[in-house]
Amino acid sequence: MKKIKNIQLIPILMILMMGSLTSCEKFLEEIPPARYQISTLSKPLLDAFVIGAYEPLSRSRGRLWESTLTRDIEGLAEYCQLPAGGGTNYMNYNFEPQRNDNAARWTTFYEAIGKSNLIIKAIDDDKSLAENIKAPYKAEAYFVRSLCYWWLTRMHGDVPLRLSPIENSDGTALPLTSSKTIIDQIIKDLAFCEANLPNKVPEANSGRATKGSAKMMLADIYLWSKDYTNARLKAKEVIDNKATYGYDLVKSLETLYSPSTPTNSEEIFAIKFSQQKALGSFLPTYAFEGRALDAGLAARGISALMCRNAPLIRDWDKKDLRRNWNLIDTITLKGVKVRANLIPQASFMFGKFRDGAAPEETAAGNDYYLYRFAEAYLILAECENQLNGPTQIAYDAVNQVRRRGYGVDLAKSSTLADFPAGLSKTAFDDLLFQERGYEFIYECKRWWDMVRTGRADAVAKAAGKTPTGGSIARFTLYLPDVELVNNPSIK
Amino acid sequence: MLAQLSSGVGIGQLTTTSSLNVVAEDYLEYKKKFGDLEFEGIVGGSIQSAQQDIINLLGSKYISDDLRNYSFAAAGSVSKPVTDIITNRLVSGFSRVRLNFKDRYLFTASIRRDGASVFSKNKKYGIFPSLGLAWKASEEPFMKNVTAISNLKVRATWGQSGNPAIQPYQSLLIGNVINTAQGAGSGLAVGLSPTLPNDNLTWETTTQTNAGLDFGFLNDKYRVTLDYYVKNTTSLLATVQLPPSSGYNTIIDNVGEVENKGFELEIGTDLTATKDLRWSIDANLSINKNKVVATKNNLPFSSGNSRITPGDPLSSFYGPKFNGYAADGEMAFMDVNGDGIIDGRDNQYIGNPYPSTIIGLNTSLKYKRFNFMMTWSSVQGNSIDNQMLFTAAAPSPIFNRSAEIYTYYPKPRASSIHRRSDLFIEDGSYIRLRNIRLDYSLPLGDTKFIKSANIYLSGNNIITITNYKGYDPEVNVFSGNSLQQGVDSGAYPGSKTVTLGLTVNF
Repeated sequence: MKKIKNIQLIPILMILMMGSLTSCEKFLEEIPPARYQISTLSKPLLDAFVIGAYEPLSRSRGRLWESTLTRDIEGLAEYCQLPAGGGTNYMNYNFEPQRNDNAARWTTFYEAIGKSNLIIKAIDDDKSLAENIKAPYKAEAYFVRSLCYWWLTRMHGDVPLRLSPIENSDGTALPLTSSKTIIDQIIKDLAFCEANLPNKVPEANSGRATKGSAKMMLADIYLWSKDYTNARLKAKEVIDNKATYGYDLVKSLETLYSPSTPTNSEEIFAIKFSQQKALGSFLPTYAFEGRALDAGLAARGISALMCRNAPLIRDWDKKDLRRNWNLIDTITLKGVKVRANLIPQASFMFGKFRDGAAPEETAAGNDYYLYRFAEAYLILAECENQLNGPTQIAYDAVNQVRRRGYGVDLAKSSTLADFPAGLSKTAFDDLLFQERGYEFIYECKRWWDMVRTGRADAVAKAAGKTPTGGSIARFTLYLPDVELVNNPSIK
Repeated sequence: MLAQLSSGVGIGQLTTTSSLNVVAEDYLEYKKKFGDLEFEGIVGGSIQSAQQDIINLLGSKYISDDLRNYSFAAAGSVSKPVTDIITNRLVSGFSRVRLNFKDRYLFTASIRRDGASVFSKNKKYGIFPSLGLAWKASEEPFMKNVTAISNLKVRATWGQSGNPAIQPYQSLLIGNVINTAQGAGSGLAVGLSPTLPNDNLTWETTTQTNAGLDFGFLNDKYRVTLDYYVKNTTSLLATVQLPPSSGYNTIIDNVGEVENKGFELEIGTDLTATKDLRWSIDANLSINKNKVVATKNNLPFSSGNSRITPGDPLSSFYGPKFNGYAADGEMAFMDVNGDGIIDGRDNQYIGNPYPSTIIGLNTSLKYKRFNFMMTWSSVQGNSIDNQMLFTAAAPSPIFNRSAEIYTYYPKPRASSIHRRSDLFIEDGSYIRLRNIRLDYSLPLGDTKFIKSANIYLSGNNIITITNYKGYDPEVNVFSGNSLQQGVDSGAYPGSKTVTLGLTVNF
């Protein structure tokens, strides 16, 4: 081996080495080839972020309306039967054993809120885009955030109210805010939405919020708060603007609950699903028994929730087309009708959402309505009756929905479909409560109706449910431990 | 003929990952002897670049399942292909000096500067020095007469090292591409989901101080190695849970400082070493204590049931503490905050996943053509979160459960509340005969063709002494930056094997 004579070589090399390291700054800079790095705001970027804020709402296994949120909120309806085990506790209003089952959807809701907050802040910070370009996007972010808080506060009562995005992992703790303050915030934000959302969106964008969506959510919130004047006002605005917003009742239930149509005139705001793996709804699979695929009803059947023979169900007029669509106790296998396998205590399967063509269980295409035009009529009817008694306005409104349900001409009075004349205010209200039950079965409205009208305990018991401790003691779910443990501000 | 399915069903999925790793390392070595002093210097540098290309395809509505995922053209509907490219780069400069004086005094010093792409801007570099001193006392002239001591070496080292093992892009504000049906008519809309960048992400640094002694007695018939160490890890990297109300689920962060200290002792002896009989025994013992010294903002960080809390061992298990059975036969738990409800706020320290003591024992006995070997190992003082048992012992639904359910629920009821309490944190200590083996080498005479031939009977994991109720106390733990250690979710156990074998060398 040849000796290196010049010892000076080492420091020289070291200097060279250090020099080359500084030029390594570029080498170490992270530039992800397949992902967007966010710099300045532009309209397309804003649009993509807003779509991203909606995404958790329909996310497969986000555990919202595509699956367990629907199961759990419907599970509290008097007509709902859940399978033995945890389901029995839960459906009888004993929430503690399953207290952490809602952790995933708690996280999903707050993820949508977090994304909305980020958009709102980015828009407020931005100086480059014109206000008229930014306002509709900001309104959409407000809408998504409001929707999430509206569901969170109804389910849990007081929850953390975060209105601006976190910037790092420090200071993530946040105390609970009262439900009343949260609702006030939502009402304020929705006023901005009403003013700045579009009248309608092109079919290709269906599923994004419009003026009508904001007004319906406001009507829903006012109704919950027993502010019948404002609820009536908002419902009426939706009905009066039906031409501008493009709303109408859809005649056929098959069309209304179709797994493949992009949208329809009855949709005011819906959670949209696609017939693709992990981009669709689980609900047909939840609703049907094990032979669902062969029966052409769903990709799979897991009997996650079924329908009890509660008074509402037992008294359902057989001439009401909605009954036949919604209640299924037989299935057709190779052309032969057979009795469906029902879980104990159940009398029917929920037939509302069917998708025999879904490629797999997370891929049913049936959209899930949070607000549809029929509800504007029913809210108007309820509020009108509360404020002025069963006037012609109240009858006309509810009868639109009744006539559609019976498949008769909407414009002509019908002895078959219409509410009987001469009802007292109370009788009208009772019938309307029943009517909402029929119209919105399996659409997560019943439990809230039971709670807000003070009927929950009586209706549940009349249906044979046995609330733990004798009567329903608690109307809100627990906060999941993942929040309690990691948020030191919740004492 | 096609396998008949109902028209247009089935799903085919294909994920292709290709990786390209490039490493270039260069160094210059300089060696010179100055009388009794030997000098050795190294200076060098390396760069590493790793890239992963991922393609994920999904098709559905096949007319038959014959083609499986070999043909996506056969699918009636094809989802969007999902592609990703992940890059990760490292660059290092290093130098080391070694001095050896008379083969008795050894000195080593090194310094390296590492840069990793995964860390935040301006926090990508770490400098990691080290120093080592050793004295081979047995080589001293005054020791030459002490024939009983064949080897005596005293060592001391101090050094720092860095850990960059995290996923890339955690410090960038990225819009992850997502697809959703929301706002897309009957198709899909492309949206962006912003990440929560961590601007402060930097090297996890471990500083280790070590003092040691190597001792050989009677021509190394008895050998002892003793080490004492203190290992301090700062800026510990971990994936931690955020309160979901923050809008984010988890973040990788430098969350705290952890100290490990302990002893390691190895003893070995060749009891006899004659031509026909050789018998040696080697044993090792290590005792370790670990403690979280501090955490960021002095707050606890959690992941699942594991927590980092100042003063506790790292990744301690937290949960409710069982407090006997109530009159109705239901479990009661300690209500720490006294609010009458048992929830996450009543969680307490219920176990440490790290062992306090690890013991190993090897022995080899060779007699003529027979060779007998045994390896024992033992781990003491750690806890295991037996999640599999927890699941199997759930009182609801009340069918398809483990018989163990009666251990926990004398009267299982669907309404019983199943909590992951200290009852499901078990002692993970064990003693295990890891290997036992007997060899016989066949007499071959003058055969030139076969060099050696050997028949053996070997057994692995033949004896395990443990109170742990799961399959295997050596659970496969979560890896990477996960805080969750010692969690048994029913991992496939190590197998008990007996092998009868013949080895022939030609």
